[in-house]
Amino acid sequence: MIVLRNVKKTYPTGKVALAGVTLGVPRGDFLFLVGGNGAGKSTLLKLLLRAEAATSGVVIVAGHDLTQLPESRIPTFRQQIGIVFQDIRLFADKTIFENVAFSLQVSGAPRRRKTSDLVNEALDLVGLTAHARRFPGQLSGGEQQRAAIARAIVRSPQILIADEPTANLPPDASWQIVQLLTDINRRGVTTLVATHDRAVVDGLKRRVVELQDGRIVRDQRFGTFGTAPAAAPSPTPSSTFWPVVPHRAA
Amino acid sequence: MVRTLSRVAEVVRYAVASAAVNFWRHRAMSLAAVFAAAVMMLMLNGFVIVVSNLNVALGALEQKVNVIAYLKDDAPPAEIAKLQDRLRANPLVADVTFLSKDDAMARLKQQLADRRDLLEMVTGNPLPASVEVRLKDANRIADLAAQLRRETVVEDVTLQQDVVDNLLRITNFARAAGIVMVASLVGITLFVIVNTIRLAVYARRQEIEIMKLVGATDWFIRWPFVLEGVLCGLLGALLTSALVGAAYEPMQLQFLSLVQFLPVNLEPDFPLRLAGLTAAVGVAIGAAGSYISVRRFLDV
Repeated sequence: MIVLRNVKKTYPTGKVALAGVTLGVPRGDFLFLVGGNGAGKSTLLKLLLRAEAATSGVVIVAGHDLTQLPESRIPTFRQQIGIVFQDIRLFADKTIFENVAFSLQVSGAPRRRKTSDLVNEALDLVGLTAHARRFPGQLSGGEQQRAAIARAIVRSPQILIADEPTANLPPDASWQIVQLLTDINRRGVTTLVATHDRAVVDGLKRRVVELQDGRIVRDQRFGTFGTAPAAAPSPTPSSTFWPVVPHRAA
Repeated sequence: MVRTLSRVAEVVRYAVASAAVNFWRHRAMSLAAVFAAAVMMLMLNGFVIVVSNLNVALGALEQKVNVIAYLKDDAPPAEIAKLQDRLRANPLVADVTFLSKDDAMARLKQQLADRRDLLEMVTGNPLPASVEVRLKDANRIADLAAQLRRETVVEDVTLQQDVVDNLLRITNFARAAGIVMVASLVGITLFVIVNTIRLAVYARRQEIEIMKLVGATDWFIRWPFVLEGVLCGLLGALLTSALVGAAYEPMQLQFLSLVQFLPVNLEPDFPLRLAGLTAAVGVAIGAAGSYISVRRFLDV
C-alpha cells in the first residue's frame, strides 16, 4: 500500500530531513511512526500526501507513484487518503455534519440523500451523532478529533494517515482516539500514526518504526515506544583527523 | 456525460450554497467589501456621468462643423439633384441642405435688411447656389471636402480648417482624458476590492489549506470565493445605483442650469443603462477581485 525506496528529502534551505528511507507498509497494516523532533516524521507524512516532493527515491502510495504524479492529479490522489491532523483543523464555521460532508463534496459527492447517510454512518462510528449540528468550538478536544476522524474516513479511504492525533488531549480521550483508529484499521484501512505518545504506543504493541536524523533506526513487529531518549551520538574521535601517536618516553 | 453533468450541478449547488453561507457567517467582512465596492463605484458613476455629459456636449459642438460646396451657375438641376442623392447615401454625411441661388439671395436680403443701400448696388444675382453638408464625424472633414472638390458641378468648397482643427484637438483630448480617468478608476476600484477581499481570504487561509489537503481542486476552492465576490460586487452596485438614482435628477438639473450654452441632454434611459453598467462592473470586479485574492493562497 505504501512503498518508500531510498527516499531523500533536502529542503531548499539545505536542511536534510530524510537521508535515505526505505519502508514498506502492506495493505491493512497498522504502524506507529515515532522519533524525536526533527527526526523527519512530519516530512515523511508530507511526502505521503504529496504536500512535499521527494528530492530523490521512489514514493508509491495507494498505487500512485508520487514522484511522477502531475500537479493536476494531486487532488484526485488526496481524495483516496484519509488524513487527521495534530491540530485537528476542522472548519470552525461549519457544523460537525458539514465538516464531515465536505470530504464527500470535494470528491464528487454522491446524491444528497446518500451523502447524509454516509456522514451519519461516520458520525455514528465515532460516536458523535448527537453533536452533528454543533460547531467545533462547542465540542471538547477529544470530540473534535473524533469529528476529524469521521471526516477522514467518510470517503472510505484505503489509507488513513494521522499526525499526532492525540497531542494536546487528556489520556482518556487519547485512548478513545487510539481505539477508534484500531477499529478503523480492523475494517481493512491501512493506518499510519505518527506520535509522541508513549502510553499509546506501549499500550497497543503494534508495528513501530522509529526515525532518527532522517533515517529509520528501528522497525519492530510488536514494538514499544522505545528506550529513553537515544543517547547523544558519540563525538567523532579526534583521531579521525589527528592521529594520536602514543607518546613513549624515549 | 450524465455523471459529469450531475457532478457539475453538484459543484454549482455546493458553490452557491457555501458562498451564501460564508457571506452571512463573515458578514462584517462581507459588508466591508460591499461598502468598499459601493464607494468606488459611486466615484466611477460620477465620472461616467460627467464624461457622458461632456461627450454629448462635444458631440453637439462637432455637429456644428459643416462643409459648404458652392455650385457652378451653369450646373444642370438634374446633376445637382444627383449630387444631393449621392451625398445623402455617403456614410460620412449626417445631413444635406440645398440652398438655391434665389434662397441665397433671400437670405442675404434678410441679413442686410437695414442696409438697403448696399443691396441696391447689386444687380442680378451674383450669389452661387450651394450645398451645406453636416458630418457624422467631424474628424473626416478633410476627406469629405476632397470628395466634394472632385464633383463636376462644384465650383468651390469652403471649410474653416483651422477652427475645425482646434475644436477637434480639444474634443479628442477631452474624450481621451475621460477614458483614461474612467479606466484608472476601474483599476483603483479593482485594487481596493482585491485588498478588501484579500483580508477576508487571509482570515480563511487555513481553511483553504485544509481543503487542499483533503483533495479539493483549485476551482472547487475558488468557486465559492468568486461567487461571494460577485455577490459583494452586485450588492455594492445595487447600493450605488440606488444612491445615484436618487441623486441623478436634481444633479442633472443643476448641471444643465450651470452650462446653459451647451445643449446637454442625455437620453432618458441613461440612468438605467448606467445602473446596468454598474452592475456589470460590480460583478466583474467582485469576481476578478476574489480570483486574484485567492490565487496566492492556493499554493499548498
